[in-house]
Amino acid sequence: MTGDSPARVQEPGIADDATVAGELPPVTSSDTGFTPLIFEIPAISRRQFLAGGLAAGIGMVCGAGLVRVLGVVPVPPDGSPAVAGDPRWQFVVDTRACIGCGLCVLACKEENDVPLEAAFARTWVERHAVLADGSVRVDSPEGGIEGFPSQIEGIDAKTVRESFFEPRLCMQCHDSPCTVVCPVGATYKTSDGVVLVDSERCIGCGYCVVACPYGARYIIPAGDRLPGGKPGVADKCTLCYHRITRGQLPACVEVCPTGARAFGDLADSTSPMHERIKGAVALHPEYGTRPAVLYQGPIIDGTELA
Amino acid sequence: MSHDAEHVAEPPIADSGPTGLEPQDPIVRATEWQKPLRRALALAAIAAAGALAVVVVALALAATTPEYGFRPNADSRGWALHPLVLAPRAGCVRCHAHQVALLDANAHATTSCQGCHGAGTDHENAPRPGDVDMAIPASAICVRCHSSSVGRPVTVPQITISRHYTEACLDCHNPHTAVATRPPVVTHPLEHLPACIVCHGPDGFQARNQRHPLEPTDDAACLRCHAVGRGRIDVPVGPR
Amino acid sequence: MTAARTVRVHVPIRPRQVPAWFASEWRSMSRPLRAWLLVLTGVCAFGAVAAVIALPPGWEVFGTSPTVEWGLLISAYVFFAVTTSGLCLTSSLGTVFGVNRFKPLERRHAILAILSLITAFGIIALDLHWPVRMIFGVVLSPAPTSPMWWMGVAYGGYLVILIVEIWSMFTIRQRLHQAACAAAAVMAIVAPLTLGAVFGVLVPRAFWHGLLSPALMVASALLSGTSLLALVFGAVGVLRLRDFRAARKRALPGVRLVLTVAILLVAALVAVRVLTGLASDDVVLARTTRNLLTGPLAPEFWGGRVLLGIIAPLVLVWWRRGRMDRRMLLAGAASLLGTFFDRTAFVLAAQVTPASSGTAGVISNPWATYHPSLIEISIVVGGVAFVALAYTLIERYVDLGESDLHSGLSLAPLRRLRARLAERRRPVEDRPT
Repeated sequence: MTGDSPARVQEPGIADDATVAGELPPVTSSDTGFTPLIFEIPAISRRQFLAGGLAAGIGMVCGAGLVRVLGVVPVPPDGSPAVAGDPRWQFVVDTRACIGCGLCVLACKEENDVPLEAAFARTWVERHAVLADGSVRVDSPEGGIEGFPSQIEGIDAKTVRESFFEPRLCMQCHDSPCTVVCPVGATYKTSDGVVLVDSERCIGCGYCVVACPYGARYIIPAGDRLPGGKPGVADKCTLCYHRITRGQLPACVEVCPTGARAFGDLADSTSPMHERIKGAVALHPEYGTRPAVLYQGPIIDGTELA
Repeated sequence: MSHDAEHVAEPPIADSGPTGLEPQDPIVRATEWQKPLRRALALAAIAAAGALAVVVVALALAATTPEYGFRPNADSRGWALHPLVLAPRAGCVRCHAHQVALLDANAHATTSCQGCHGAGTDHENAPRPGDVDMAIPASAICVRCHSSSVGRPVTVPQITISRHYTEACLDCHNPHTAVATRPPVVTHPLEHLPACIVCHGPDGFQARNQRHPLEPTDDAACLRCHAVGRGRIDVPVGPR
Repeated sequence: MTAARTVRVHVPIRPRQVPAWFASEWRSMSRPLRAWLLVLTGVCAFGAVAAVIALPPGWEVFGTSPTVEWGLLISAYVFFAVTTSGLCLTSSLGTVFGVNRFKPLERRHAILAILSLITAFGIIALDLHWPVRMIFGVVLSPAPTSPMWWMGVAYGGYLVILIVEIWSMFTIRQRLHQAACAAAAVMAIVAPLTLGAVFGVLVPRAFWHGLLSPALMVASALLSGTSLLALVFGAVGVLRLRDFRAARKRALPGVRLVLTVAILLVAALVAVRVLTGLASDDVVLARTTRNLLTGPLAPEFWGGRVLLGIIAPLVLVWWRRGRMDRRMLLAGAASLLGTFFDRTAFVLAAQVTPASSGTAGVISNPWATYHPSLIEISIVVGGVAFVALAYTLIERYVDLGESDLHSGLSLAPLRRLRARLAERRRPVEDRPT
């Protein structure tokens, strides 16, 4: 018992092991009215434990199946094949026609209640400039919502060899990375091919934001302007789903003064989109996402950035 | 340090107290569990309890949290039900056919009414015409397209704002016909003018009511003050 | 059939005695221990306040943006989650693979693992905007295409297994414990694989994409788990806790070996990552690697991964001067710190150099920026302090020594520790001032 002597200063209330028991008898309910805390854990054998666990697991799986069959939980419509008669929406951007007025960005924010801060845009316009030395500069002040200043900041206009505006939005990919990676199936694809976010199931993990090769997604900040009605969930261009399902054009297409944005239904054989998509290409085809939004004219998809 | 080690080197193991494990009488008698029927029943009961637990949790969630409730595919319907903000163009044509016809007949044919005038659903749905007015576009709308800018296709007519006569585009230009009238001569003997701040807000040159008193002058007079490098040219022009 | 047993845990203390008990406990502590506990409690409180501020919908206080959506909290989550796996990897060397060197000290592994995992879950819950939905969503609408779903399942199951492992360890259910340890050893590999896959499946994030991410996660799991053990066993030796001889003679040489192997493994994988990145035709990958080596992440990479995470621990471990437990303590701390910076560099690297020129209207040119907010930093530091505080208290009040165990849950070490600390304190007090 070397070194134990200072611990002999026994304070009231502490009684741990056998040594102390002599000085402070175990407290029982009879003499204090206080019931000592007692955990009684009935011991079971490992076999019983495993068998019981297995049974409970099987039962829970059956219960989950029952829940599915009863329809308590909605099955995410992701991957549902296009129903005959469903539209095949097609969007084409012509970078030769875009004049960088930014009315599309403004209209999108108005139409969809998108937060007004520059960092949260469903659609935005980039100005790409190839300089004399071959390097590329991109700018997009405030996402282009107020149009573009005459100069690119810090760049002498004389050194710009070629430049153009490139409107960006969700590509509505046929093989969309975002729907694949969502851990709770909150982002999904409708039968007419639009990728949407269920703002009541999204957990806000940001995986889709990180997974999107086109930077089309953001998490809605808390505030008055909530596109899907909830803050803290992922949001992105819906192709103005409420407009296109009513036969209207998306807001950005509606206000575009030059026809740089065009939208239509490929299932309609008379649609001018059949003409428009000739020669149109996808951004970042190397990622195999098969976008429904195609581009005409010059594009720089970011990989050439210095 | 090291002398402390002596004390703890061989610690006396004296912890076999009531907190240790003592063989107790079994609460659950093993013999009962060995009867196959009882065991099967018990396992079935456990499985049923597990299934019931999941169903109950799911039903509770369905009742309390709509997101996991009975609404298969309801979300896309929810998106589809959002109200329109930009009105259908047909609504504009219904009352403003003349203006639309003018627009369609000239260089601005591809522009949309609501691109310049703002969203029109409230205007369209107002009980009486005039209850909700559409915006008269500010010059900032015009210069979004018509200010000269890196990247802007040369097919679009462009001005250098600082060299233009005035920033009140609509004084001279009719956007529906895209025809310019003779520009007014903006004059500047400043003693003839009201205080600058009446028209130009301190937060930028937001020009309004731009009808300066007429007095003959020429471009050279403007450029005395408004030439490149004299400050004015760098003032950004845009909507507030 | 094992005979059924009843575990009785008496807590023979009346409520009104609690203040006196606390006071006497406090008196029995040495001055450094008091300072240590006070500092940790303070930092924990600071972190708790930050966490309350960050409770949904308080996520506005984070420094993240759509361009850099995963910031310091995700890095810290990866750090703690992977450390948990690493602890079980080294622990399983003892229990599953029969390397007896670690066996006597496996209680510390298990306690540290579960503390680390709880901290990881706490941090990820603060980062998620709707954490409660996640629990329901993972169960009720499973998404097997998503690595994150698998990760949630893996780490959720891991927590259950760890609880069983610890419970069976302290109640001495040998066979159940064996089974739980085996399951934990499997999860120790599976879980970091799924975590690596979360990053590895993202094709546009070339720096993360591929099999190297899961491999790096497993290797660095071994590294960070071993580093934490080096830190703890070093501390056991330096502070002369009860079983410091076992720690010195048996555990530390083993930890040193595993630590060296793990560092070399991670160094090799990092070298592969950097060299393939520099040589790659993929513009995004090459640019990301340049940003890591010479760009905004260079301090994290050179100072964190290379200097603190590789060079410093190797030198400390093999430079045969001074006492080994002190060197191991320092080596473990350096390696852990380096690993933490490496986690932030890993998480941020692919985001500050995105494939897309703009994200939701913001251009990343030449790279995206991210500055963690004070709240994020406080939460992470608070998490570290929580692990340290909880572990210190457990070390003081629960027997974490030799686990061939007949002792069970015991307050005996408390008594001995108190005696020893009081003994140490006395000369200080008697000293003339």
